[in-house]
Amino acid sequence: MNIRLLYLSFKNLKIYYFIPLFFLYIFLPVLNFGMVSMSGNIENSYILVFREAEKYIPLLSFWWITLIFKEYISGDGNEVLYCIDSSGKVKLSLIAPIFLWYIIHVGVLFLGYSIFWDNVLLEFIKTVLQCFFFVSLGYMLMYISESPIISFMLLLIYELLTIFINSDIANYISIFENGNRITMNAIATKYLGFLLLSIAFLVIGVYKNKRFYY
Amino acid sequence: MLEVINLDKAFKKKEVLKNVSISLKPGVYGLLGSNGAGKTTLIRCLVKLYHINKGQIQYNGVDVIKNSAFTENVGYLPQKFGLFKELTVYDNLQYFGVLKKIPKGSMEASIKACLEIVNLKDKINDRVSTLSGGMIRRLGIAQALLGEPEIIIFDEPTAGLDPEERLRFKNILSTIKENKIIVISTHIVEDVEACCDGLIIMNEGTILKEGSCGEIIAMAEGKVFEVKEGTYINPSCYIQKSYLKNGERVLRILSGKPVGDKQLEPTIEDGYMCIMKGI
Repeated sequence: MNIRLLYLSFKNLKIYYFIPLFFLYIFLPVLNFGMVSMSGNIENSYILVFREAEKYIPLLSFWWITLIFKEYISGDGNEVLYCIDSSGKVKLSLIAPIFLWYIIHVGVLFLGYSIFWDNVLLEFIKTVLQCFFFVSLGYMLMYISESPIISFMLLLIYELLTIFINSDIANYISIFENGNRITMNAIATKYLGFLLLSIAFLVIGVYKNKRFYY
Repeated sequence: MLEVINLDKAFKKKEVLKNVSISLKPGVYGLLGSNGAGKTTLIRCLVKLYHINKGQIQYNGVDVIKNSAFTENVGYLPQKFGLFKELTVYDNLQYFGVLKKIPKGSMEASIKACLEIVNLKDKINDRVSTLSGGMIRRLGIAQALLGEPEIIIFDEPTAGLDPEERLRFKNILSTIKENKIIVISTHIVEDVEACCDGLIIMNEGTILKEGSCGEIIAMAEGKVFEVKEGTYINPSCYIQKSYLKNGERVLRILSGKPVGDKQLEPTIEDGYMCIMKGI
């Protein structure tokens, strides 16, 4: 992956590039500050803070990919991007550094969290797995639906269903903790399952990506 | 030399290309055919965008499927072009330059040389979104020229352009054509008349005729007639056009048998229509 390509892809987003950064570095810290004030002390606010974080961080992991891949999937003359790139048709080499760049920013936020709370490393691992799940699912959906916007909307619907609808099915398919304190056991069981599912989505995504022009 | 050998391409059960074989030496080739003839599919096979069902594409005797460096030797302008509109002209070309693996040290010179050819050097720092349709098309041409590819493929390069931009395209073509294989897909015959060394005529996924402009014109030799409007015309004849001459409306007719008493000199368009209509 060429850093220059990543830089130019971000540059093409103009102000929309800063939306995830606004949420990570301004919106969430301000919201968290309000929650700490509301709870009375930092320790009591733990559940509230990480419940809010998982509402925004995983979904926003697909924001940059959605906007950048609008060019690759529905841009005028997008086929030129699939035939002149000697690295091939599969665009994982572009998605991976975008994902990594986002995770670095999430890491900075969680580094800040670690000053005030313990168990942040497990929360960070959980969040990375959630982001990976959203990116893999989104990647697969955008090449199936041939639209990154539809893919993003479907991810949003999944999030709304699993966070706001309290039913057995919604709980079963939910990748969110919805206010539970994350444990090593949950990482090794529930999140390992979601990791395997994410890998399956990624494999299907690669297959659909390869056949986008076939 | 670029050779297409017995190429078949189907989308599910729909056969789009049937046993296509052509060979292209350095020169400018016009790929002519009606809408849906399979021109874009053939082009997409040439640039390795499509998987081919049967046959082979060889460049200098090597199967292009096995040659990963082949794409670096190909410049391609798709039918529509309008990517990364929020970047400047320079950054936009830089994006394609990075994809084409142009070395960092020669990137700037390469971009400026391409912009010079397409006459967009004064727009180098302008955003693509501020350019006119014709300028964006020229930017697309510049993108195809980046890295000095040996094969350049233009898919409907003049579609939707005004006469001035079409003339400009022909001038660009004459600047870049030396030692290159250039394929121009179009359904506008007059576009290829002025600048192509050879023509490939396609219909319903097959090659109807491949030859020089002279050979295509020869297909209509003795088959072009001018008659006054109102004259009885056999239904097997094809009316090429109708125009006013000395205050009278006359028809230009393509026919295998003599019609009227005035025979005309054929043009490429006449040759093309004779091939398409089987006259």
